Amino acid sequence: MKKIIYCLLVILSVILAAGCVNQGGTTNQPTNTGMTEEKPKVLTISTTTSVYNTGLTEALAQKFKKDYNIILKFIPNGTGGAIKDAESGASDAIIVHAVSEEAKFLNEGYGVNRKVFAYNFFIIVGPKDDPAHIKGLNPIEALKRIYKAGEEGKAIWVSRDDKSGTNVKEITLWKLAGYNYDELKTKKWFRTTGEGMGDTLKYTNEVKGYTLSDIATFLVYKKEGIIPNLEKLVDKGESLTNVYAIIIVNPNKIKGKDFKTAMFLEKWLVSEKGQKFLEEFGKDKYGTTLFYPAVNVLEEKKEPIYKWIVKNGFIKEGDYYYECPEKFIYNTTLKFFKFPVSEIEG
Amino acid sequence: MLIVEYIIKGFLEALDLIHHPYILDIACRSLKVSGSATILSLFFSVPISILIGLYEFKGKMIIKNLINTFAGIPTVIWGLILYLMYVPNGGILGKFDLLYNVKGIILGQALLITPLISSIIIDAIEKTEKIFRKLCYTLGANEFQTIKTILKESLPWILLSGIIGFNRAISELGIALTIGGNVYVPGASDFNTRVLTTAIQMHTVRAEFSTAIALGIILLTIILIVNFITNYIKKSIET
Repeated sequence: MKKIIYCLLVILSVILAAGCVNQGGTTNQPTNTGMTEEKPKVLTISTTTSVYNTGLTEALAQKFKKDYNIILKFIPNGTGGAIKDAESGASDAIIVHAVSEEAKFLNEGYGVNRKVFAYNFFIIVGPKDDPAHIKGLNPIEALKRIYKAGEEGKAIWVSRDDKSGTNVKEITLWKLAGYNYDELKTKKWFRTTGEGMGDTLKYTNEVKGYTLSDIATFLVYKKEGIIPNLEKLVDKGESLTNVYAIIIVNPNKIKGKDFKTAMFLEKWLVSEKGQKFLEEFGKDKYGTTLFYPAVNVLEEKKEPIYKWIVKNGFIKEGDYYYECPEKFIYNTTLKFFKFPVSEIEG
Repeated sequence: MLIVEYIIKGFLEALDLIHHPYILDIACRSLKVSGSATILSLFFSVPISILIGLYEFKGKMIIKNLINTFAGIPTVIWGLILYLMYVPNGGILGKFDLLYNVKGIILGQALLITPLISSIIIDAIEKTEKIFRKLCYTLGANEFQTIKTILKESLPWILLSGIIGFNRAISELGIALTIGGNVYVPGASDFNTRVLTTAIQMHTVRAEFSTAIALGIILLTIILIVNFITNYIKKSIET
């Protein structure tokens, strides 16, 4: 009996030692680095899954650690989850892509200084043989055809139904096509996964259905050969524009957040350096830019993209489309875009 | 076909990746977090279990049933409960900076495995008590000596419970993901919260299967060793 107990004590001490060695490692590190650099600043940023799953967040975190000694803790939560995080005081800023949700967040007083920094396009993907014949159509027409084919039992639509930015966009698109999302959910050909983009694409591939996807996740999965049955069928159109924005948590509403450092990140993202970084990201791996820089397009009013960005990523109030309505601009020298409604819609 | 190809290709690449510092860093963090959680949990589960195990009182059955029920709570629910407890705005533990932090995962995993550890220890003490109390009395031992003997005989079970708890902690995903947030900044190990399970989940979603498999091999090896030890102890106790 004694032997066993000794044996066990050895095992336990090994586990303990494993813990201690590591703890030693982590406590050693700051003293080592402390000689040369000061204590790093830490930001918690809740983001959408599409930004996270492509690895953009990690590339950013690495750059900020190296160049500015700022630790960016990115938490992938989807647009809805990111907003919840910010409201509960867990994050310093959010990076999201659902303008209607963002406007709500600003209006409730939680966020300030919203800035658009990148855009890309949602795409409608579907099976190679395209039973609903949507290839090359505009997105609204495509959805109408899918509805018809679905009713005839020829097509399946897969929806994320998880309140993510992509899902919010999908609901808007169905509305533009003249259908109510809640009614659609009762249809037999309309499947919901409640999962992230990756799993939803895998499921869509399995059932040879159609779905709305962000371009980045689709490219990653296509390249890895996970979704051989799916093809990009509709990839252009104003209503597919996907606009990414950063919002800083309002320091007057939620105490203890690092407003200054968060603003530094925001300014960097829209600076020439940051915009270049976004443009280059993913090029070597996927052969194409995943997140297009938005600042230059807005500044130089490049047709027709700037109008698409404004329509899909700006907040409409009165006669203007605002990047960030004036009442939500707080303590910054940063310039925010606004365009008259007549210019955009005329 | 596709899956088989992936597994073979992934496995071969994984063997190369296993000693990559990134993978080792994550594996070490996993051991550290779950090891600390186990030790923390033993600190409060051992005294409680000894009290419950040694003494008869009203409602003992109810408490034991409750402990068993708590042992079955899925980790995602723990994640949700802990998130609500940890959020700075309104959470009861909001002041302690536990959200998206390894401290938070350690406390969470410790709470997760406490019912499991407690129920094992309580059972063990009750069993040894039955055997030894009368024996000790007949040999003329006083109450203190009797309890000492019972605890001494239960010691292997207490260690066993710790190891089983560790196994549960290191293989759980829900708490590590919801509370940890899977943060990874190269060179900032104080702030990173990525552990084996969350890393596997993330690399799978990102379709980086080789990395996921390499991490999986490490996790499975740890669990295998732990299970081997568990079985060894069980066998030793029985014989």
